[in-house]
Amino acid sequence: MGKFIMAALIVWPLAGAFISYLTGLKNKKLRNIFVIGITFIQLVFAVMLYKEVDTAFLCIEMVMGFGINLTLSGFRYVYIVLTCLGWFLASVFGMEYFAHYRNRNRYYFFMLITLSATSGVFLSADLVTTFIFFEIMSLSSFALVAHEEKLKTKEAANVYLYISVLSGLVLLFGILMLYSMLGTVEINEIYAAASAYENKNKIYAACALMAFGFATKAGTFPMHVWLPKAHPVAPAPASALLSGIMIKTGFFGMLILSCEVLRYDALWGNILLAFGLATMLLGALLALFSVDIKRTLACSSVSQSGFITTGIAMQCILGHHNALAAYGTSLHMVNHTLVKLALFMAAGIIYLNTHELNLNEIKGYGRNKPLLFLVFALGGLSLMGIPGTSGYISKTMLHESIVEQIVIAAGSGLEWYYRLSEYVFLFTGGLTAAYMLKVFVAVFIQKPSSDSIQSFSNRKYIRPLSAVSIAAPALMLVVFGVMPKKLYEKIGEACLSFMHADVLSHEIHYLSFICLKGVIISVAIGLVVYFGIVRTLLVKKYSESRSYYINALPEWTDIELEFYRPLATKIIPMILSVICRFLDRLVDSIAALGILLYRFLKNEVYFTSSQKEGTNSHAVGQNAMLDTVTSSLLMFSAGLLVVLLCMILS
Amino acid sequence: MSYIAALCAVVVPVSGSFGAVFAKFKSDKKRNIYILIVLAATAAASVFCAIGGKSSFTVLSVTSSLTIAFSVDELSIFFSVFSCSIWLLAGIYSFGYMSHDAKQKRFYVFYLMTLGVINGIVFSANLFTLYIFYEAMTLLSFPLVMHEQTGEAIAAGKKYLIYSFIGAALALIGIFYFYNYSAGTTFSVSGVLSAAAFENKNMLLAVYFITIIGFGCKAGLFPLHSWLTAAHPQAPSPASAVLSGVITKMGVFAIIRTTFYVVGVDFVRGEWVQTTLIILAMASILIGSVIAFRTFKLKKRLAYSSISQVSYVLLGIFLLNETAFAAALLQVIFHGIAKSVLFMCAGSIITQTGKTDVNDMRGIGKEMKTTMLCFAAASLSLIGIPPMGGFVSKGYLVMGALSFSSEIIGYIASALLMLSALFTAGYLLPVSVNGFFPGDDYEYRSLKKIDVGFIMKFSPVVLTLAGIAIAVYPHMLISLAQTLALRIF
Repeated sequence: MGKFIMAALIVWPLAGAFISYLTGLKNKKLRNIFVIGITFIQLVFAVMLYKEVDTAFLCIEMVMGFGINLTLSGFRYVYIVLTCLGWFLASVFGMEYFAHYRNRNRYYFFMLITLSATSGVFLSADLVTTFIFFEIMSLSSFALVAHEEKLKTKEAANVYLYISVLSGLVLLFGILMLYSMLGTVEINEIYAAASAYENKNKIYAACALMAFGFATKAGTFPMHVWLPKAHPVAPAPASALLSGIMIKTGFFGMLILSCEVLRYDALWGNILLAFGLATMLLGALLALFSVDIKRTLACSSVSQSGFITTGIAMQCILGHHNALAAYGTSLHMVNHTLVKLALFMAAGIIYLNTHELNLNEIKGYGRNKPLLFLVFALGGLSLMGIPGTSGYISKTMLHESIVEQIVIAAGSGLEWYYRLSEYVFLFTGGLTAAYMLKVFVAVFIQKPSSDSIQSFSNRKYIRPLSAVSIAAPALMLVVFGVMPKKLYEKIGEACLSFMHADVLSHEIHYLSFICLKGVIISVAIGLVVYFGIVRTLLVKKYSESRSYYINALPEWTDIELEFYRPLATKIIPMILSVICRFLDRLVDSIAALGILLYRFLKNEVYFTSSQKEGTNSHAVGQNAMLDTVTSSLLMFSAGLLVVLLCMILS
Repeated sequence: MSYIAALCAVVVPVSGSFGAVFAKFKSDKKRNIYILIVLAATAAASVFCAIGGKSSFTVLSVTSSLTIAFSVDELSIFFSVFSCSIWLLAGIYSFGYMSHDAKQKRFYVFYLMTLGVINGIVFSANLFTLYIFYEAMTLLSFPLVMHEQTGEAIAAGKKYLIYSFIGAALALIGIFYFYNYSAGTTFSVSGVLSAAAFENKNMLLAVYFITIIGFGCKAGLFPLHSWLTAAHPQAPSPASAVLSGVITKMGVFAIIRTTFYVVGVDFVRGEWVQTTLIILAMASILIGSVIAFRTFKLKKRLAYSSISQVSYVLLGIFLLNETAFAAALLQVIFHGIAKSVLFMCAGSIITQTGKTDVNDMRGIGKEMKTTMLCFAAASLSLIGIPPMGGFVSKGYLVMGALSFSSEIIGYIASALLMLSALFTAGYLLPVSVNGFFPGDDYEYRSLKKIDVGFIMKFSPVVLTLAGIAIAVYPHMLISLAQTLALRIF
């Protein structure tokens, strides 16, 4: 039974994509209903898998040359359900959001394909299957990002596309390398095979390549560059899915690397920790400077990715005592999914009504809108990790796991590293509070600067169905946060087997002072940053009553634009093309030299074709040939020059 | 039994083309039906070979050891069925593409005749027969290249001839040399050379190297590759499709025959020749993809892409292990399908809009939806993105490279494959992306649906669907490739 449902989770949305596309050609209303119906049935399928956890296994040999293997474990189940839930909410929300969009058929088609692929990633039982679905997901979600086709959108979408292709190829290289070394990429068998393999360095190399691919999707520094560009420009429901769910496929991969291939490997953990810390800090700083609400949320996703990466790193470092880190990682992932689903769609509501995302333009838009207020407040609080929300639970666990490691490492050479980690962790928590306050105060508390937006507030701004779809995830945050033991820890417990962690040895008292201390410090830092920096340095005042937020971040900090892009589109192709053109023309040039020599001896050298007017096609052919000859000669001499230069320089 | 079918596969298209010369058709349509029947009959003959199993047959004995002989084995069936299918579909496409051409008759005569000699190459039982048909193929496909008779086309045709003859001359050296040491160079697995040949080892290696370079000319192997980027873009699109999709593969076929059936794989393995050939193949991969990235005429870009993609096949062969060889055969199929689809789509774009530069093709996907969908699918296949075919062949190729005896070369080759795939994405994806995502300033009101008619859509669509079907369930193909690989190694 589980087999069929798992297959259905992949095939059904795929079929649905074609059904909805064909329907959409005839009737758009019916198509919308179909899409909601398809995602709802998908959700039902996902929930029905409840009984099959840990037993379902599906193997279809030879598909795509390597075979497709699907399985189900607790963690996968949690994420399959969240994926289907996210897609269902996004398609309900999309009905209102896309009402005036063009090319909706294309959007829904690719949305459903992406659903199929994302489900496939979470169900995959071997790395090649993971890769196949991962790649399909990346490519089909490109269509979602590029949907609006504005100039800025297209640019961001192209960055997303090429970074996806690049990371996909590096990932594939890593996977195939591992395959050829170990003879298996079955996730269950990898650990045994990898620990039996004698050349550990090669395993590290393969893992580094794979990590590059997965971490790029997860938005980890220094490959985070696509994320703050692509997420804001996508339509809001798509941003919610990208940020909330698709990022997590990257973490799914990182978890396989860290909990299977390199299980309990402290060196790997320490390296990962550095990336995690850099990512969380950088993302939070970018978010603090941002004046675009969706960009803030996207940068916040980068920052939260850092938190999750830190959690994964702590699992490796803590070895067999990693229960806290494992709980923290999985719950923080769930928390982030729900927060971003709610917040991105809420931002979508603002965009839908104002057609603006800039904080200065939407300032005060949220006043007198209790629902929007509530959703934003809950999402923000959970992101900050305030008690009463699920974010508090997961962040506390992550924090405690670092504290635990400080205790373990006390006296050893690396103690400073973990202490520093704790400071960065708390400081970033403060920055999180600061940037969420910035957005929140601007949208809900400050008075609007122009009159046009004020007039919107009297109109009905949200349809009931959309209201439900943004309220549902926000509500779940509170439910999980209020009942950590009964509900939320159960989710964490389900995920443990995937991460090979033990059950918690002792109960956590969430409201004890030790746990609360971290939050208090973070919030204090947050308030200081908010009032000390955001309200003074990042705001420009016209007069007493009029002020606006400025983006104080200089241009050059955009490393994608300033560094990666010229490298990838100009410098490397330029160097390679000089070499390649030389090789390409090599034989032609030698032949050309011969011909010229022959003609020189016969005294009939024509250096340019214009000296000889072609009248018939034969002569034109001659000229064309001469053209090639001269240009070949030029290329050849250029190549010779390069070779000489190289010889001199070396 | 199957030799009769093999003979038919050679004789039917050749005699069919003579028929086309002398018959007087009342209309173009009737002639097209006639051509279609000949093509279909040839394809049927080659499928019958597959059913009939192995056999061999001598047509003519020039001397006791110099014979013109045919034989049917798995490899020849594989290449024959592949060539005939692509030829048939490109032929159907050409009925639409060539319909306004003044010299259709000439085109079809040579088109059919070339298919005949290609089957001759594929079914030939010894190197001598192969060489004769190989030269015939060059000569008979020459009119296809310069069909349009513009100055550039004639220049390209000449270049094609000159390069092909240089290549064939080099190969001929090898054939003479091998002939001295074997009984008629009749192909047999693990080599036919007598023990005397191996005494002068370096000489034999050098001769083998020269032969491969010579045959490599047709396959676009560096250094004799540059005819390809002149000739392919100039030919009419259905001809470009078969030139890139099939004729380049004849170079590959000849290389396989020489390496595995004449010289023998064990002799070559681990020698400097193997390393050098791998490096040459890697160089061609890089040259093709990098220059394609910097070329903006669509068909020229596709031609450069062929250099790089066919060199994937060659790399797979030169690695001399089972996985890589299976990957090479898969790449033959998937590249053949994808590249002929791409050339057909490029041809459709040219006939409908006259656009040849990729930068002018914004919004083309809105105008020519079906055509561009095929183009996009074929692009994904060439890059190697699942669920398209390129993923399977390139995945296997990387696996083959990684299990190569010299680890460093294995890693460099795999890294190079990835780099090349990245460039492939760089030169193919923008066409589809700009075609389907023209930007919000695109004028939808002035949009005209100008897609080609049914006959020009049919072949790309069929090939695309077949490509996806084979890629998603490549079981038969892979087991065939592995059987072949097992037999050879």
